[in-house]
Amino acid sequence: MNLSRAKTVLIYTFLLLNVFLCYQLWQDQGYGGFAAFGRKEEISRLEGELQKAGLLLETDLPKTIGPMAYLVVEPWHYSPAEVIASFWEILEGKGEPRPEVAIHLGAGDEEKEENNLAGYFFGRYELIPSKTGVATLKYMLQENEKDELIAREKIAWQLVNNLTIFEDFVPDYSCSTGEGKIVLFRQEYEGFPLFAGYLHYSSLERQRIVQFYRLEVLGFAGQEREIVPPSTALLRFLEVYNGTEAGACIIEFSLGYYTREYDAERWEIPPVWRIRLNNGELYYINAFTGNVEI
Amino acid sequence: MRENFKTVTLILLVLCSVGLTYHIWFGASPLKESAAPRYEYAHFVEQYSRKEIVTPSLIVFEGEEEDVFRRGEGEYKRLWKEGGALLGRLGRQTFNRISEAEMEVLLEMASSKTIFMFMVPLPVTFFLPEFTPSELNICRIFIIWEEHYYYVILEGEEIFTRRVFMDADEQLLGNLRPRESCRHLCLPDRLIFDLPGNNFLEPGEGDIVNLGTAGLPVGESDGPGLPIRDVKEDGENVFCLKLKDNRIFVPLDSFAAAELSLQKEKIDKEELVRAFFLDPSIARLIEERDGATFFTDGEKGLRIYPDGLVEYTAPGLVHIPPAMPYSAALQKGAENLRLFGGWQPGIHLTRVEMQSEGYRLFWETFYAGLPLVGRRAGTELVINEIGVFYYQRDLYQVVGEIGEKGSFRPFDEALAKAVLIYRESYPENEGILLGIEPVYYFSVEGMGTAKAVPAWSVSISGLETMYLHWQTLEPL
Repeated sequence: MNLSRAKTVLIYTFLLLNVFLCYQLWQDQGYGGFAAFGRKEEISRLEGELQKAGLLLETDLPKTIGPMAYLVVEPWHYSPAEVIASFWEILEGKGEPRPEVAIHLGAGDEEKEENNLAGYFFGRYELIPSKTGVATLKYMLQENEKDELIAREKIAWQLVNNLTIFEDFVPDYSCSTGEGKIVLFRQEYEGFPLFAGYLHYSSLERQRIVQFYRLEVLGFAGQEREIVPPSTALLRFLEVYNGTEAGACIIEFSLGYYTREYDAERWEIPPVWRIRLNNGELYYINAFTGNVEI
Repeated sequence: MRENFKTVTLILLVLCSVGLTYHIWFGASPLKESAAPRYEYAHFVEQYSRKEIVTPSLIVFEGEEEDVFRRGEGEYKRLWKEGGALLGRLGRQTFNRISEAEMEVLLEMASSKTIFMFMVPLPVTFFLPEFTPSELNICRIFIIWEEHYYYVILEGEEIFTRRVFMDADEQLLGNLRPRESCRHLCLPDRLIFDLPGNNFLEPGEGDIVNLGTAGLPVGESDGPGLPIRDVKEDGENVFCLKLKDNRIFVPLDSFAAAELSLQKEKIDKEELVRAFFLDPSIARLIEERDGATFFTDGEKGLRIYPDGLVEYTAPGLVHIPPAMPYSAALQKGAENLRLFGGWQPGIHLTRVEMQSEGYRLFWETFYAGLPLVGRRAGTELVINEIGVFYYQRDLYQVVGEIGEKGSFRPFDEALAKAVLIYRESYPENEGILLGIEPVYYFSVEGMGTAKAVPAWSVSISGLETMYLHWQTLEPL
């Protein structure tokens, strides 16, 4: 073999090698479908911690995204009369005349009475707004009312699709409890889930409960900062998770914004990693600090 | 030419593959690092020395009569400065352990002595770093003079003494004698009040309700300035006030005070946030409906109320056992007070409680010998090994005195009025006196301004502390 030919062979060999190495680097940046060499330790640590906690990870960890900022929100101010009119149209039909609205103070469950402002009764419906902004609509089913699963979910979809107050709501997930089924929707802002804003449609045996909370988003706060990667968030979650339920697994791991309900004028809410387990438990890990949000 | 091109290409490919291999093998860290947080130190005032953390609650000079000096008085400051300097000079001296009986003998033989009394025990190492045992917490320091030498007695869980012969430098010891008189009476262990016909009348000129002789120890019944009447102890018309602590001093001479105008201290909100959150960018802001601003990072929260009250909580630290030593708790507490708003002049550590979750420290403001009390005025901090998990700060600064000074009504009248109030709730003929002292009682006037009224603070077991107007004796 002459030298020229040998050089040609070596050029092709190294070219192939470099293509392979570039692919590996591409994987390493998080664009590929499997773990790169550099993350092996991290992956094995995650696997070990998951095993220790007795949890399975049944979803892919999302890719790390760039810096994020706080979201500035304020409570949604609404007129109960307008909300009542909107609900009435969807639930009873436009043509149906709406009965008089009766108001009485201190409505709702005894333990929550302090937070409730008043109870608004119209026909078989009761709307209970609270100081924190959470509103609850309850009504009993009529004898002749359809009680099929499809009909139940249809009403929830109708509410979200037809009421302007829920125009920025999207489906979240649904779950079953001992008492019935709950369909959940959540608010969204510029493509980011806003877990704090929600609509829960609970269909119990003879009763329907619609609970909703909405936030007015004023925009992002000025300063952006890096967020903790999903692997770090998962490790922080595993540090605090103390569940003992056998067969528990993580079925959702997503990034969004979350806050608990405040009776405040205006506030900033942080990006969070939401971790949802198959038993319905939800955990929010602050994506700036890695702390569990209470 | 072609061969040269092949050679260069091959070399470049080899170098490229080496570089890529290195990058993959040792390359980028597995976890993407966040932007470096911006840390900066926040200090509101200059550093204090350990000697300034704990100050005596009272300085008593026992000579021919008893003079008592309180925090905030000029003479108190001078005496404590001299006393501290004296202790500092004893740094390398050896102290001897003595018994309580031996101490009593020394005290009885002394013709005159200065006593530094500490409600918050003073860790000995704050003044004598090489003292053994180092964990001694001092409740009282006695300095007893003799002709050519003096004794220093440190009383804590154990008692230690040192006799020091005076040399030329020690002539300074004379500075520990008060230059002003401030006569006080140490109350006896029982006080008897005359209750004529069980009809309580407003205390007037000292002739309706007064202290009796029956409860006074022998030799003190004719003490200087004590308003004494002959009152029979037995019978229904007598009320007996027992003392829980037999070291309650009350002023004998008339003393004057005026109402004070106060202003809320001004704290830089941003600096305060930086003090609590090392990286302020992680503290999110919540504007509450009552005008308060709340900063939180999800684990700890700082609330600044519209009237300037500062409240901080870190509930995650509550369950840490308080393993830290007492002296470390004081030191860390003082450091944190400086960091979280500053240690303003006139503030003294007045109380320390050890609780299951940590040490609870209280500071109060003193002006001209009287503490500023009432409402929530002052500062409270709870600390354990991990850090501060509760902090509340509500401090006011004295702007000036309002109007002319007026004299306090005598202490016996204040006590009598307190007994009248006590009898409204408890018809018994007996009570336990927990304390009586002149104070400034704090009342908020408007946003950021307040007024303090001189008052007698009287505590009788079973009732909340009573604050009686210094001239009318009306409850405040």
